Amino acid sequence: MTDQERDAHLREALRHAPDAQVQPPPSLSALILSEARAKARDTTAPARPARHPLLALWDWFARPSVAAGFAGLMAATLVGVMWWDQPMNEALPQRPAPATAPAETAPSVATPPVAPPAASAPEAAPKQAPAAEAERRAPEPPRDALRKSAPAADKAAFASAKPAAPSPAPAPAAPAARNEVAVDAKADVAPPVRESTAITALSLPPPVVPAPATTPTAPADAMAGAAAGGLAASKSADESESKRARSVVTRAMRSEAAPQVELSEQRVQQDVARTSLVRLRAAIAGDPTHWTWQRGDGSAQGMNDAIYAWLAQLDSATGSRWQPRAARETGALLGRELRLLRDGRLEHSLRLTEHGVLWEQAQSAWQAELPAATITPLRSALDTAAP
Amino acid sequence: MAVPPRVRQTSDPMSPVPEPTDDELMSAYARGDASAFERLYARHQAGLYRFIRRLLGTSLAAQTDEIFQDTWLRVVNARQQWEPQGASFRTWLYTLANHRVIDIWRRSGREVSMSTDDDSPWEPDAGGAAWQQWPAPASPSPHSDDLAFWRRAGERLLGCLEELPLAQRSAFLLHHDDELPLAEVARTLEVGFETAKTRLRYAMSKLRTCMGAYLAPIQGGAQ
Repeated sequence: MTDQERDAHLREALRHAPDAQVQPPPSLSALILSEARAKARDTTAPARPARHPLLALWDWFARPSVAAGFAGLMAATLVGVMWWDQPMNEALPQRPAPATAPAETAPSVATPPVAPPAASAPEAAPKQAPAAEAERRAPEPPRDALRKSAPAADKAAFASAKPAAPSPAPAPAAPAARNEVAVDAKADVAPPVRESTAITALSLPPPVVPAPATTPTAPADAMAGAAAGGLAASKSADESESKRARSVVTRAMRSEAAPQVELSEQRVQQDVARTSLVRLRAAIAGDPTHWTWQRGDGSAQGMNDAIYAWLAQLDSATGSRWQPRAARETGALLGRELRLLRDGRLEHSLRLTEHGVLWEQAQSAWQAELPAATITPLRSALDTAAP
Repeated sequence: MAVPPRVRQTSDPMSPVPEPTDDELMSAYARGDASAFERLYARHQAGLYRFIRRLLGTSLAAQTDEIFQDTWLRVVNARQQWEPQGASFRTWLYTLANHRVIDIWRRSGREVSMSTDDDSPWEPDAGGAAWQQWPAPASPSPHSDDLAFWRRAGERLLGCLEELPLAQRSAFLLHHDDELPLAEVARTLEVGFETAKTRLRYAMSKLRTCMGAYLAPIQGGAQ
């Protein structure tokens, strides 16, 4: 039998059989074809052409291990940038705090002439003045330079301060120097939280005034009669402490080691004063009903736009010329002082002098030297606003 | 009755683009070309379905869909291992279907005799005389009377196929219905050439005898 010997009759009968036209059900065909297509996709998936190099790099970055590594690197970089050129305070050895009372109360050359009696220091509120905080946060000179220059500078400072100081018992120069360096060290190891507070205060002033509760309470009438004495009494012992720390820095600045520290401290002080004046204006503008003003022996009067405008004029005129008030006299007073009271309590005292303006507040005192061409319009404007 | 179109594997000589062979299409599908499988399926789905249905017979016809689907899924799953060497794709496809039919057949309790020795000895053309009275086959435009005759002959042939052993039935169907050469039949059934040839002769002899027994009544009814 060969292939050509197929039975033609049987083939013809098969071709005409009833099931000759039978086809698989369409649903069955669709099922088989879909399965085949799915498997074909699985086959083509591994043979996918090479992706773009950038996409491949992105995929590599998206791996958890690589992403975690880069995140750690970024965090380390951020911390490094934050602590750039800053001493690691936590790593410094802690020095014992000074225990001798004479060293604590040792005056410095920066003490203002209107300083309160020494007895008022322990009663002062613990809140730090902005200037003191700013000085404490100021960029510090190299530690080695400070340590080397501290003994000599302290001796000179102590000698110069001895005649004017009401110190109960003069202390030897060496212990005093050690104590002041220790105070400096205490300022160094202040927690970072306080530093961030100082940074915030310097960058953007909040529209609130310093809390009056920290100031020593005194009747408004008595303060009206003796504003200078009242303000001086309200300065706390914190200020003396901060000034003592400042004196250390100042002595170090006077030495040949750190001229740039002096510039930085001045800049910080100017910023603090300017910020305080801005905050004062913001506090008055935000709640003028609580504020009154007073000149000389006159009665307290409600805050008005003229006073506020004069404060703005003063702010514009002084700008960044504010300095911590020095011991030396700034000249004779021109006219009467302007006192600003909040809820009947004296908060600020502003006086125009021949050389500028004096500004005393609860915990600090500032002065700004101004040219005569600026002082004259300020005086006339003040007389007009507050006759 | 319209003759169902038979999809040829060979290419049309008039066509400018030759048709890809089954092996080429299967290779393309193994590389992930789903359209190649669709073309393969279109070529063989009708013939395979008919082969399975006739091989199973009327008693097991309900299993046709299951075997048909399983056969194609085996093709899909074995695409990576398939190589166009040895047997052609069609041979492989029908071998898979034949195996599944044998499984179903055995599962149903039927005896599957793969030995031609168990069958009765073949007597060539036992009813050969009756065929001479049949109409001529493969007429291009058959007469209506001839169409009616062949339809009834087809019905009768399906009944005669039920009487054949599975091995002879598959050999006959592959050779006559699916037009596989005898060598391909032997490969599909995984038997030797002579065995396939013997099975085919047994099947044809029995079918001729079976069909000749009914020839007189068919002719009488048709004429």
